[in-house]
Amino acid sequence: MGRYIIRRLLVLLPVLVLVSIIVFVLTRLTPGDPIRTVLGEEDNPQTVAELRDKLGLDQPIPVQYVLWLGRAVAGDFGKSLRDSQPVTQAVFERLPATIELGLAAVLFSLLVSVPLALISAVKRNSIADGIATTISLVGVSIPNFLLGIGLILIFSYIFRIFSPGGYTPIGEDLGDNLKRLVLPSIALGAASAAVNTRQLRSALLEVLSQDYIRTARAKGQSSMKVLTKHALKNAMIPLLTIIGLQIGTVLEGAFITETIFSWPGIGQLAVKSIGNRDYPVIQGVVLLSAVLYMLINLIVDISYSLVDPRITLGQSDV
Amino acid sequence: MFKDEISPLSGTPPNVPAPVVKLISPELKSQPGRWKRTWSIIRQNPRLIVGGTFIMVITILAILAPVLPLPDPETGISSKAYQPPGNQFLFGSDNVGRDVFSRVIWGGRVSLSVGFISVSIGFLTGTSLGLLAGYFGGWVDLLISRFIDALLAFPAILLAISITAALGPQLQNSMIAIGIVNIPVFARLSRGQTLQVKARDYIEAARALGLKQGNILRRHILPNILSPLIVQASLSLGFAILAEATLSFLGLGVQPPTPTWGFDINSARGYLSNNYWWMVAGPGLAIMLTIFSFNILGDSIRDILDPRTRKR
Amino acid sequence: MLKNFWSTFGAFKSRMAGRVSLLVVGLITAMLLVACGDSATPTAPAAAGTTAAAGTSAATTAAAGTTATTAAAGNATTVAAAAAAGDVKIGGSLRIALENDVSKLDPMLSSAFVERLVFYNMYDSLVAIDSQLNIVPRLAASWTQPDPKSYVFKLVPNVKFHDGTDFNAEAVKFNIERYQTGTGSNRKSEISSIASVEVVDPLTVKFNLKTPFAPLLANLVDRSGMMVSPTAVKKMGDEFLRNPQGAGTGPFKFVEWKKDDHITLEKNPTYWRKDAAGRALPYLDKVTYRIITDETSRLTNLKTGDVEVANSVPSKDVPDLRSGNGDVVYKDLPSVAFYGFYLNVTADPFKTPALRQAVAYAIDREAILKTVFFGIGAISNGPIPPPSWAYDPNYKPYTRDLAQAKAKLAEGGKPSGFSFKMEVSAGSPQILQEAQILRDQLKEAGITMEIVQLEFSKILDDLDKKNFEGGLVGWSGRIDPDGNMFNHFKTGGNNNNSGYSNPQVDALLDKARASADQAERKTSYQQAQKMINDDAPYIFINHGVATQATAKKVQGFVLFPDNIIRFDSVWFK
Repeated sequence: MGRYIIRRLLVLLPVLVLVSIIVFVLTRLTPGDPIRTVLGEEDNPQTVAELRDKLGLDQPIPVQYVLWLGRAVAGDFGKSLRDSQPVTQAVFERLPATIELGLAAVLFSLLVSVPLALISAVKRNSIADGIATTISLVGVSIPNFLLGIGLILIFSYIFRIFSPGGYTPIGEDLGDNLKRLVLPSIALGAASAAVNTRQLRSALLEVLSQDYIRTARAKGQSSMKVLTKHALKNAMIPLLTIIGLQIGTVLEGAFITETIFSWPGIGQLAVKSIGNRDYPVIQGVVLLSAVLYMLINLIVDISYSLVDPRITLGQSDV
Repeated sequence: MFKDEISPLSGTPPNVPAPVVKLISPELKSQPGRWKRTWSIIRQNPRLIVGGTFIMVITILAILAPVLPLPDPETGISSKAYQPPGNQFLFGSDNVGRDVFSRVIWGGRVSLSVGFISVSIGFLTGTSLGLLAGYFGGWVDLLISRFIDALLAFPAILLAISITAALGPQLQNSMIAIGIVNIPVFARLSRGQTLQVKARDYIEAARALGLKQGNILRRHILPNILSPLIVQASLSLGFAILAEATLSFLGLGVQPPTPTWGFDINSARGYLSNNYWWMVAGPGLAIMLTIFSFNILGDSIRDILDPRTRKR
Repeated sequence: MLKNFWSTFGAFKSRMAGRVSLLVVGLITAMLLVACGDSATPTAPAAAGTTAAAGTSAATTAAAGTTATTAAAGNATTVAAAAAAGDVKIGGSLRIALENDVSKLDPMLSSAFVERLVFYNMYDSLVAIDSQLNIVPRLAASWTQPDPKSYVFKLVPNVKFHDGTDFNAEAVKFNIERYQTGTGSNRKSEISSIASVEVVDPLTVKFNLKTPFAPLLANLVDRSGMMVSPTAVKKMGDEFLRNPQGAGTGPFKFVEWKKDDHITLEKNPTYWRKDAAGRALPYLDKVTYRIITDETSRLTNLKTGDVEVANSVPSKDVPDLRSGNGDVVYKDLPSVAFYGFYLNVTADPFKTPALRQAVAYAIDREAILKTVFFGIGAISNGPIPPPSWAYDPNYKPYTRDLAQAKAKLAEGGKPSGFSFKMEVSAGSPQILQEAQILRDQLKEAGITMEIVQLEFSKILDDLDKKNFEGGLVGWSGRIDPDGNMFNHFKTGGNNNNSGYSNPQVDALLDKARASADQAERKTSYQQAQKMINDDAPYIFINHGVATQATAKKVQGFVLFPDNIIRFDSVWFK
């Protein structure tokens, strides 16, 4: 196991280098001069030249890359071109908001998906199953920006129950924080709730069709008991996958959801910095997301083997 | 192998048929009465009919848009902006004074073509890479797998946004970006399948007989790994349309006045406070129904192709 | 002088009949602060449209006299409205929804409009404006112009920065020199006319100019005239732009800035300015700027009571706000901004003046104002905005005339029309709506306009390099006409994105800069404006509005044509 983890981590390294090169090239290919975003309306050729020199943007791209990589290895991802905030600080300052929103979204999706999946798996092909399946399909089919807009319209605009956007730190005002959390977490959680329902349902069905479940049923155990005692336990692997996946889905959805709800997290930072051509921030955020993504995948894989010893990790194709 | 289950696509059901899915054996293909069976399968799957019908309708409308008696979807009359649904404008008019219904139909043209082309890019590139990696193994596999890992390491939508931002906001660039984002899922899937098929006796036999590599790949492996890929393609179509809408929503897609659903939703959302709901309702419903249809279509195809889940 | 003083007194008396004690305090304050009374202008914010022809009074009066002109209305000018209402309630925290995050809190580096909204409440400038665009004293209590090439400022005594250090002539010298030479300074061109700054005594500072420069005072109203603590600048170093602790002298002190989330300012308890009734300013305890980029969200937050003030209200919602829906007060005033698009006169097709004029005739400004802006604001007939003293309400160079447009096309050698690409800022639904309507209007004249959506920075870059055909980019506007014209239309000007060059316009703009006589300057600017419109390097569409969108409990709010919200006199009912 230990050797496996080390091997996996070693494999991460070249991938990370590849990722960083892709990001670097993409940002440099993107039209638009970052200096112009820094200076905005004001326009003085001398100031432009001064800044370009100060920020090292007048050097060839490979040189810029090597310099950046050298510092990044030491944990220094540079400073924002716009407001010269260190990238690591910008990222960590926003991490709590994204984590909070992410957890709330995962919670929402589990609260919705587990009961729905149980109902539709047990009462397969019933009306309840049909409804649950349809709900989850609709959930998958709504773009999250559309859902976000709809939620704002209904709950903020028509009924004025929840705030339509913005963020209050937990420490400052818990009530206000929660009030502002509701809509974005639903918008973000809906898609994964739908995905979860579908996955959990088929995982449960898979398990329910196994011989030992049939045996248990034949012995006269109630379906609920069979379900909770045998099936759910054996559906743990898919569930773990789901949780791993969820973090990915949430990270993805965060880009749009945070933008719509003015939620000051990592996703909004990424979208804004792409708009602003803020190279160091884009590089930092994307690389961080990539690392998170890969680590989560690794953790999911490892947890498989813990849940099911039959799975030997050595053979896994990484 | 688990990774095969992980779709890199946000919001897309990652229920790619797991490798457990038993492939259609070569023998099944030559069975007589196949068409009859297919027909009975279709009849037994109302979801297939619903999804398929809707997609057919919207595809036909999109293809026929130029000959349908629709008002100009691009040029409006600004004095007629913001009209509610009624006689003059079936779905109302937008903020430039154009017919929303006409834009929805024409927008379908863009959405569907982005969907089909970008999925084709992802399918062709991804499958080729996966085949090569799975079949040859060794350093070819290593190289391709690391490349796929690197692509997978990006959150998909962020990758699509970055690529479109880099290439410039144009229709073909959205197609390329979404196509690239679709590569990993096809590559992983085909690689996993190839690994399994490669170990089969008849491939060993073909190799022993000295058949050319290209022939083996094309004639013997590809046909046997195709079905899960087709299911994935249907699901990816839903994602691609969603991704295009997201890019257009962020202003990175097709340029106005070309109608697209994502752009129209973004233009319309501000007017919800004015109660001009119809501007968002048209494109919003269209996009939901389309993605919904592709999803149930993919679902039902998978059920049909996977004999184990068919009748349980 | 004395007459003005007594008229001010009269104004107070009529408004505050009976409140003798307050009056006395007010007068004493006024006498102490106002070294030399000039005119106290009307204070109540005028309704939209009525201020158009204001001007004429004190604006740039300093330039009017040659030797010893002084301007010095009471510092109470802007706050008299609050005093008029009698009792004000002290205290309370106010939240304002801001359309965009700031990026630099250092006036030297600042380049975004939203930053000014924060600056005006934490920094004081040497001079300020009142709601009629008249220049009034602030940190400079008075000034004289011994000769056209020098200004002598007398500073307000006993003013301290928030970090406790003294504001004095040394600080002024430090700031001006920093703005002129600092790395990445965005202020250089605004104060390039200053050759040197001399400290005469701790409260007197002299600016020596290279050439006579009429817009100087107007430029000193904004960031170029904002005084920050030299100690704070040195202490914070590179951090200063993100954490300007203790840097200002203004009514509120900087507390913190959480990127993309909020900026907090708190009351400066020892602020040096008082209201007309002698009460300490400001009234509020705290101001929080919440960054809410979505315009609908911003307004909804205001309606739901999550904020008390919202900036940049979308015009589409104004009819609803005006109808008194919700507990929101809405007012607007024409602003100094102008909107329209640049045409690249250095390349085809817009090398040909007739083709530019064809575009100008093909556009229906009324329709755009009505459909895109729901009738809010005004049609633009040139760079001089309605609130300016140089504005001529009767000047209307272009109205839509398709026959004229087609005649101009023929004159330009393209009788069957031509096509061009218009660069448009990505992501803003309103700008894209405007672009599409422009496209449809031009299409009727046979001109094909292709919309190219680009990131704003990319557009600015293209404009700079003259690598474009048309660019839909407006200007937030400056209070002096020079700020709306010189750099935009002078040959080689920094903002002359069209690549426009007309020696006669150059001469007029130079002349207006150097002239000390406002009437003469007005004539020059109007002549230049006419020539610019005839040549049509920029197609003017509309002028913006300064808006007030506040909760009903917000009192003492004064609308300024620069659209910057000052909280010094705001209080809660």
